Order: sequence, then C-alpha cells, then structure tokens
Amino acid sequence: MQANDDYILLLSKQFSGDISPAESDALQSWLAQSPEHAQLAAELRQVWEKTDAFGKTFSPNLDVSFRQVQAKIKAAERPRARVVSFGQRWLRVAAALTFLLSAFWAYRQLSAPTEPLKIFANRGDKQLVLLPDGSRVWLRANGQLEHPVEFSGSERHVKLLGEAYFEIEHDPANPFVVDLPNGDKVKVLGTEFGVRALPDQTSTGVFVRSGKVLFAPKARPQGVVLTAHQKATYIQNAAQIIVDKHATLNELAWQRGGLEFVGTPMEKVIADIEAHYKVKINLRNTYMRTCLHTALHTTQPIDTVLESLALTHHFRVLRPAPGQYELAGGTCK
Amino acid sequence: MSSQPDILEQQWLAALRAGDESALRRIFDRYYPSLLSDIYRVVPDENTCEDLAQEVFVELWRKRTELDIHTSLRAYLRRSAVNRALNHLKSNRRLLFDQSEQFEQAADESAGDIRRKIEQETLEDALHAAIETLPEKCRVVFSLSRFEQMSHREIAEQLGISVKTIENQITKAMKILREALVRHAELSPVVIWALKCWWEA
Repeated sequence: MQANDDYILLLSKQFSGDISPAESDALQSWLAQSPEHAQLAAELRQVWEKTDAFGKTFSPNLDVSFRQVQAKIKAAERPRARVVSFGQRWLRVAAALTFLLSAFWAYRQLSAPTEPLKIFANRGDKQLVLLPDGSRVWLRANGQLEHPVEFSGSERHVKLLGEAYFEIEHDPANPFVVDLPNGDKVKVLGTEFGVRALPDQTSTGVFVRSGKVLFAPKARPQGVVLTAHQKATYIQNAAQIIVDKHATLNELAWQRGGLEFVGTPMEKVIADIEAHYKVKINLRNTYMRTCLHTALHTTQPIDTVLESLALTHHFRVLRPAPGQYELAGGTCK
Repeated sequence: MSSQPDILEQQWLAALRAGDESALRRIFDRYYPSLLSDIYRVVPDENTCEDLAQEVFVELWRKRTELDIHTSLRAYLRRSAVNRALNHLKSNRRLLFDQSEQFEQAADESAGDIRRKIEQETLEDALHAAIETLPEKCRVVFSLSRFEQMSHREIAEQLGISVKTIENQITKAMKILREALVRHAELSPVVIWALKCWWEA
C-alpha cells in the first residue's frame, strides 16, 4: 500500500481541484494500470464526498452570546491607565494634592442631590442613551427620557415620553421600571423590549424581544406578564389589555432598521408594512391572505419592499394614488 | 433573489462603519452559529469555539472604520475565524507543530475506538467519528484542505510547516479514513456492490 501513497495524495489533490495537468496525466495512467487502483480511487472519492457534512451544528442563545461580545468590546475599549514617571519629587506632591482636591470635589458633587438627566431625541431618527447601570436605550425621534445620574434605592426608575427600545442589564435585586406619563408602568429584571407611549396618552404598547416583562397599566395594576415575541397594547378608554402571543415585533423595526417576517401570514405582513411606511395596501386576491412570507427587508423604500414581495409571490403592484398600493394576482408556493 | 442578501450585507456594513451597533447584532445573528461550526472543525472544544467566534465580532467592531472586504462577508468572517482558531492552536503550544511520536500512538489507540463506533452507524457517522479521532495535526491539515478550500501551499504558510509535511498528513488522513470506510463496508457486502456499480457507472 505504501507504493500507492503518491497516488492517494494525487487523488486528494484532484478532489480538491488543486491538481496540475502533469499530475492529472500521471494519475490517469496509474488508474488504468489495474482494477485495484480504480477500486482504491473509488473508495477515496467516497471518503472525500461522505465527509462533506462533517461538523457540529450549533444553536447558541444569541442574546446571551451577543451580550458577551458587548462585554468584550467594552473591556477592549476601556482606556488603559498610563504609566507616567515623574522625575521630581515636588511633581509627585503636586499630583497627590491635585488628587486629594479632586477627590474632595467629587465627594461634594456625588453627595449633593443631583438633578435627573433629561434627554430629547432631536437628532436623526433615533438616539442611543447609556444608563448608569450599563443598560442601553434607543430613543425614537421626538421621544424624551429622564433618568437619574446614579440609580439608588431598590428599583431602577426611568421616565419615558414617546417611544424607546430598551436593552436592560440583568439585575434581579434591582428591577428596572419604565414610568409612563399616564401612570402606566413596565417592570423588568433584564431583557430587551420596546415601549410606545403615544403623546396623547390614549394607548400604550409594549413589545418584548427577549426575557420577561410585567406591563402594568395604571388602571390594571396587577398587569400582564409578557415573554419573548409577545406584545401588548393597552387602550385607555377601553381599559383593556390586548395581548398578541405570536407577534412579528415589526413595531421595533425603527430600532433594528428593517422589517422581518418569519413564516408570517400575508395579512399580517401587509398590516406591518402599512403601519411602518404609513401607506394603504389593498390585497386583491383574498386567497393570498393566509400565504406565509419569510424575508428580511432592511431600511429600503416602500417600492423596493413591495417589489421584492411581488417577485417572491408573483404579485403585480399597482399604484392607484400616492400612498396607496394594490397587490393583484399572486401565487402561493 | 440571490443579489438581495448582498445588498442587505452592504447596508449592514455601511451602518456598521457609521458606528451602529444594531448592524453588528444583525451580522452576529446571521453568522455566529455557522462560525462556531467552522471553528469546531479546527478546535473541537465548545467553550473555546464560543470564545474565538465572539472575538471575530469584537474585531469586526474594532476595525469597522477600516474594513476592506473584497470577498463576501461570510467568507471574510469565516477566514478570520479559522485564522483565530489556528493562532489559538499555535499559542497554546499544542503538539501540532511538534514532530513527536506521540501522534502515531494516539492513532493506534483510536483505531479501536473507531472500530467500535462504526459498527452501528451510517457511513457518514463512521467517517465523522474517524475524523474526530485523527491525530490533531492530521485532523487540522485535512480539515483546512477539505472544508476551507485551502491549497497545500496556503496551509503550509498558515501553519509554518513544509508543503511536504502537509502532503504527508493529508495522505495519512485519507488512508486512515479509507480504513474506516472499508471496515464499515465489510459489515454490509451490499455497500461494496453499490460502490462498484457507482464507480463503473
């Protein structure tokens, strides 16, 4: 078998497409020499082809793993302390004095009651706010968030006006509470979710991407518990909480930058597109209502989104008036 | 249809360059699981895989403003992940770069394991088990050639060993895997018959 080693190598070169013409010729004449050679070649080809799927399939918890990435980024970005050598003694004394003075100043600053910070989202379509506990908040345009300089007490409270997306650091000992102007509360331990409090205070929406959230409207203090991929809407005059347990969460599209559908019925797809782009869409073919759609649409204009929808499901797109669309035809695969 | 993901990736990359961390999350969601599988072929330890794959994204974020990707994002991340896995092997002073005899012994011991494993599994399972029990240097070199589409010269350069060594390792891997195949086939003569038909067809 030792004698065949060179040809075993040539065969693997052939399989990987890394063989020269001269090597290929040599291989061909070796193959023609005997049926055993052909047999060996057949076996090795099978080895090569049947190992194709080698590997392990992973299905990690993406939320947890991404948080680890964020922690690593944070650690890498933290500026390192510089080592400075002060040659002269008086410089060290001066440095020590400066340190004492600034420590005293910092102590005064910290012990004095500080005003909460108010942030208005007036730049661009969203603004990232970092909270003192490391939690992150994306404030949607025209939103307003109020938070203390440091969290104190057993709960972490912030006030929201408008719409925001929260990524809350897990801290079971200190629940995180979003207070809304109409008295509604959203309470969590550590999770990712969006809150929409309309300025006229007529309704509140909560959209949960991961974790567990307690949504307690003022009139219903016992509230409802929401878990991942659920949303709840509270309508003030109806005093009723409507819970959707299989939500698409495209109300959060403004934060991630695009609509997402995974096996979503066309009816829901159309409703989400209408809400996101503020347009009217008429689905003419009623048979298509239950057809399932899976796609990632990034921050594309409405026409591009409808075009790709049309391409997938063989619709014709009509525009009877500005802001109005009709989808005609369509076949569901 | 096929151009759509590329447009998507271009948008993600543009957002990433602009410092939008949600773009990083999207790229992460799409590629993290497959990078774990890629790294696992070189470093078969789940915790280390997670660590190394996460570092790929830390690096992507750190270099976001100077990114210059000529291939697909998938290919870029994959190569970055595999390089990291190889550096991990090197920095841990693993046996990979020794020429020690221990390998041969390890291979002999594992032959018994392979034999046990193949008895009740499919041919694919038997071959996968056999790859896992290859001596480390042999497994890594074979994996880079078979799964990462790297030429022998490229592998040699990456690992800092000679092309001749690479070729020896690949030959060795093919021989060990062929033995696993033959042992598996001995169990069912039908397989051999099918194999012959397939080759002659």
